[in-house]
Amino acid sequence: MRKNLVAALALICLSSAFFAGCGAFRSADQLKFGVWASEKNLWDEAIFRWKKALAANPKSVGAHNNLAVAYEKKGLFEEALKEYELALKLDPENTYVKSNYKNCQENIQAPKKETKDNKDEKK
Amino acid sequence: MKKNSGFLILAILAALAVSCATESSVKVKVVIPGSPAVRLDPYREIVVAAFWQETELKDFNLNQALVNYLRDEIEHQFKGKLSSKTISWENAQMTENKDFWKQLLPEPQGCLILTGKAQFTQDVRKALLAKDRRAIDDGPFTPEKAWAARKSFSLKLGIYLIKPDTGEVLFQRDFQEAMDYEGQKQMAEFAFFDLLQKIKLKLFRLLFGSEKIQERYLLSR
Repeated sequence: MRKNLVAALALICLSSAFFAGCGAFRSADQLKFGVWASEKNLWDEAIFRWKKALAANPKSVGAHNNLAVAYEKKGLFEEALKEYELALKLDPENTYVKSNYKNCQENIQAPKKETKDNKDEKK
Repeated sequence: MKKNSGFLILAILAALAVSCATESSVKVKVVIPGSPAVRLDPYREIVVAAFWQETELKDFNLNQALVNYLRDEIEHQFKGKLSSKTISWENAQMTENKDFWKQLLPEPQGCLILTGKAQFTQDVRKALLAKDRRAIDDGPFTPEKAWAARKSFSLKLGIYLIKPDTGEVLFQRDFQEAMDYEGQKQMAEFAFFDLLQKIKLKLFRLLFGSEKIQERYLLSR
């Protein structure tokens, strides 16, 4: 009787781990596929894959980060910042995301700073 | 048998733990469009209006040339419509007169007015330069020094983007370019377009951004 209970519990644990793992693996596959597509300059395909990766695993730091890079590439800077911030919320110490985020912020601030400097010069 | 299966499970778990823990990143070079200083995409039309001109040049309609040039060049980059409008400036402070800009267009929603202040000047600079002694000697009375003249042109542009629905200035930037030309036959029109071309590069970088190649990290886990 006790043996059966242990076996049933083990089966439940294994199956739940399997299905959870499946989701994660699906997400990882989409992530990798997206990276491959981006290397071939197929950024729309990459975005599609990374969105799918996020649907399978909403806590995927990689998917948020990669989507942000793709948005930057498309000139959608506000959307990119939002995705970087979500990635950093999930993994605040990730050096890759931190580096990408810093560069993105600098790109956005540079022309605004130039305009501000021009106004200051006039004063 | 039991011991073996235990080891097998442990090995699988260890492999999974290792695969989950390692982070895989790919460094890529991405062409990123520069972020513009002002977002023009929410607007459907830009109306290029006449500029305030401090001094006028003889035989050259600067305002007409400036408005036509900006309208045509912006049309290549801007997705919306471009048009031009003649306005009469009372003074240089009219950019701050919100009521004037609010009543300028019949349908101001979704439009932007591009206008500003322009100053184009030219002068001749002369200098007494030592004559090159290696040049052919014209005799005992050849002067030791000779006059050299250069024509100098300067263009100052203050560009304003004004929202006609509120009369507010959305963007303002001053530009100044100068150039010297050898020989006095340089026509003002040619010099004007040379200088305007230089200003255009700077202005368009602010209005539309410019592409940069930068490195980013993509994560594959």
